[in-house]
Amino acid sequence: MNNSELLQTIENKEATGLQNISSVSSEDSLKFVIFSMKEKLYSLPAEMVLEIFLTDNIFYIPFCPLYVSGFINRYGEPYTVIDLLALLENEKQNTRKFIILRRKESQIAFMVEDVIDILSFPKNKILWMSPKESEGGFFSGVIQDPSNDIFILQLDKILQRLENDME
Amino acid sequence: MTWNKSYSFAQLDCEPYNFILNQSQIAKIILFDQSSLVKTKNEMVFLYKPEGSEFLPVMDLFNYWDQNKNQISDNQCIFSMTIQDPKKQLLFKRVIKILYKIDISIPNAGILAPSHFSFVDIKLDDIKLLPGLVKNRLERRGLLGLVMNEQNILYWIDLEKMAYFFLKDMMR
Repeated sequence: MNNSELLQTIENKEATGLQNISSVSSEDSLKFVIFSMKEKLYSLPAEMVLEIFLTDNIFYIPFCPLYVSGFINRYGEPYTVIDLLALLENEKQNTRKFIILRRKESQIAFMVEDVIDILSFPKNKILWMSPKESEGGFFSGVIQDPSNDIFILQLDKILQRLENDME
Repeated sequence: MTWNKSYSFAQLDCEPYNFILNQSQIAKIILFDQSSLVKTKNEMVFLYKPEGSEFLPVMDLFNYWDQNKNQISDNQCIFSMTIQDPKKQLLFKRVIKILYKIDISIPNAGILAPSHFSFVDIKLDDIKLLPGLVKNRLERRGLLGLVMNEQNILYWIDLEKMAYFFLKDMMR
């Protein structure tokens, strides 16, 4: 059996194994996973996050942009690691903390410096940004927290950037 | 087809990377002999002429994989394959013509490889496809899948696809 036939056979099998993913519902407040990089706070809506994963092993990926750090092995499945600091500030990190996104079809993990908390904020504490106000379109808003502003990542824009760069 | 059925792969250990190649893609394995090296105009593509054989263009493909890495082991051999795709054959002939002013008529090409290899049986169930978003680009460039182990991973590569992009990048 040649490589194309082997690949097609595995693809057919994996396609039948895909499951629908349920989302977390929201109320008057919104729940976020808060994390830090270089003393700044960032967040992702909690329903987009599957888990926080720790590992020392990150495996090289060739032919990718700088911010794609490699693969991690999550329970035997490869996840593509995006180094968020490299994407946002062109500075590579070396950490062992990863946020696994709840997107089974793309299997993406974000490398972050530290995961701080999972918190709910009232909707009126959130200032939503227009694409023009957001640097590179990677932020959808800011949580106005008394101690620090927390930037909300625009996940679709980040994944769109990766998709474009991988064309 | 049963998922427990195993297929034969050649496993190459090119520290720190481990590769698997579908055995059906390898025509023969030639022990590298310095005296059969015809010219070395280019360090990444060179010509090899084993006794009694035609010119064999050979690529240093595993250094293309990670260009920040040092050269692979001195104990090398050549994995010879038959380039199936006419478009890829044509590109190969063009590169050799430009680099060495030689016309090659055969569709064979070689890949410089370390001598640390073994043949292993791998079940399809153990091969993981690449995650979406990076999958298409990497597949086009010859990385087809992964075998995930606890401490390392095996990269399943298609020599012909990778060689094609290697040559295209060289021609840029």
